[in-house]
Amino acid sequence: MSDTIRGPYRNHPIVIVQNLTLTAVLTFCCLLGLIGSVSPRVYLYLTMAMILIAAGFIIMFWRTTTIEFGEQDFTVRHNFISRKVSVIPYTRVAAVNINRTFFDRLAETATLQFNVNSAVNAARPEAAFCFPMPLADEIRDFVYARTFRSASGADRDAEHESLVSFTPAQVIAHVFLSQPTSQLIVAAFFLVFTVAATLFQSGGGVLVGLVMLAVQEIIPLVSRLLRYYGFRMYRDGNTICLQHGAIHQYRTEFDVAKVNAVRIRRPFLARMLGRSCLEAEVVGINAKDGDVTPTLCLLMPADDAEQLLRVILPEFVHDIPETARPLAAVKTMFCQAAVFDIIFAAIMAWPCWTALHWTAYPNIAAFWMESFRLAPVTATALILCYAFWRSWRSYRLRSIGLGADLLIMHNGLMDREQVIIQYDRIQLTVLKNDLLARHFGVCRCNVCLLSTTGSKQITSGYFPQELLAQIPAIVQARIDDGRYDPHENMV
Amino acid sequence: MSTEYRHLSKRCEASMYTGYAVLMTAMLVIYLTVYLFAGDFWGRRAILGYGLALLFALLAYCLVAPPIFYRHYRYCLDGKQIDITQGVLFLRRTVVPIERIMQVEVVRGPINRIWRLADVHITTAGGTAVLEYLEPAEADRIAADLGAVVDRLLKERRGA
Repeated sequence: MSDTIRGPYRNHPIVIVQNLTLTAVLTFCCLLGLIGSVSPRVYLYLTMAMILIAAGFIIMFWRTTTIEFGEQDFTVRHNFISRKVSVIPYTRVAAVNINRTFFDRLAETATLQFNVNSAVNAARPEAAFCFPMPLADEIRDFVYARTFRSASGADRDAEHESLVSFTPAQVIAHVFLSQPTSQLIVAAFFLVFTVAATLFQSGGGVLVGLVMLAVQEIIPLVSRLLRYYGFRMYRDGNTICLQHGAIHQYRTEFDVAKVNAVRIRRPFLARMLGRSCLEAEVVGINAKDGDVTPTLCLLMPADDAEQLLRVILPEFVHDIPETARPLAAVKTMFCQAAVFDIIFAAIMAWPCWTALHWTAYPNIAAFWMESFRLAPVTATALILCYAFWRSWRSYRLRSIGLGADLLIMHNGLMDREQVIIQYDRIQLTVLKNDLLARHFGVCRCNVCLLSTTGSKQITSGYFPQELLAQIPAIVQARIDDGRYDPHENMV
Repeated sequence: MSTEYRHLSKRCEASMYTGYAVLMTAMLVIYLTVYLFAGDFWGRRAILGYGLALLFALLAYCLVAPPIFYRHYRYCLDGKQIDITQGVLFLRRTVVPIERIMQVEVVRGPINRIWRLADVHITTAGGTAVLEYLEPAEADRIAADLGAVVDRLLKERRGA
């Protein structure tokens, strides 16, 4: 092993420019509130003073933060206000991702994010350093050579053709159709609200509706569109590499061994069009910016997505017979729905009664007044019915499959998903039931995994207790008989 | 470590009652603050009525829950996994393979200290399981046993 990349290295100076620009914008915005109460000159001086103070901190932080690469580990030193030395063994590194921000692209640099296998740091990198592009590639190859992983450097991207390709229209379709139905309903509500406010010429209402629509739907859509633009994905040996991004370019790669579970998602609208997308629960990649579960492929025809899964992650392809819910499950859920309905009806009795006795306002048309009177009763009736509909749909849709190596769960009503979990990644199992479920002999099961964002629970529907009790038993049996390899599954 | 299920000390009920008394006092203070100082507002009587109903429901739960919790609670450490069954209305059976344990911690909160009890927090990469209301000696013994097993497993892995 060569030890040429020792260091210590500092961040590239573009980091100072980047942090200073962000600080200046933030300071300017934060102090905007003072504009009415102080003169423009004072405002300017105050802004300048705060930016100068921040600049001092940023430069000192840059000067005193270094990284050094040894044979067995790398060391990150912070020595500004407090002294902190982090020594990270290469064996703990799960992934080294390259992110290129707008500033990185200006300065021909790349930000290397070193992610370790930890529940605490699962959602943020253990260390992030900005280097000139050639050095960044060298460092990543150097680290990967020591993690005994197939290095798939950025310079090798050109050698690999993407396993999927998406036109801009398909990316737009993905960002719109892959969002949760609940989010779509809220967005539709604000759209209707805005249109109604426009029709009734309520200026304030239009503004509120537009702001909420922008915050709830448009900004996230645009942000995701920019994020997934130019999506590429390939597998090189045991490494899966994802690349995407229009302005900010993301390059994420991870070892197949770090994939704990695979999720085949079919949100409502996408399902109507026969499309699904693949996501993975991966440990140790940086999951900030809301990318909590890396998307392996954008929405595509369901059959193609399954074919793709066979190519990129054959480890998660299964032929496991699945068990549908027993009749006891629907009995339990109907009883629960009845209990919920009784409590909810008792709570809503007073608001409904009050609404029905509202006196007519002279400036509100009779039709609208009657609608306002009946709205709470109608909403209550719908919710009472929904509880039973939900139970019935859940009974029909949810299933579970217990294989030798993999556990399969089908979850969701409107937005459905199939989760394929490796037993060896299940950290703890919780079987839970209430009085009614106990009476009918069924229970639910939470399996807890280490995920991209820390720990994650995946919950099954109601199934017979004896069936779900097999899950912790299989996990333990795999440990006992040696099928579980602690080195392969170490977190 | 044995394969038999163990139960809690009777003092767990006293500790739970003390905790619930603190909770009920806090809820009562909040309710009385709203009742006395919130002034007149739309639906005041109904909202206060709902609040009172909620308080009574909570009080009933606090009175009934500890003996049921005590009766349901059992745990077993058989050297391979930790099996905890607990709950009042909802029964939860938590199973943690010892292989997955990353950290074991004995925690003595202020109320548990009054009643000479302790909790053992068992942390895995996917979440934390808690053995509650144990005798301090028992909690220390469990923590030491689990610590020794985890240590042995780590040494075996390094040696392999």
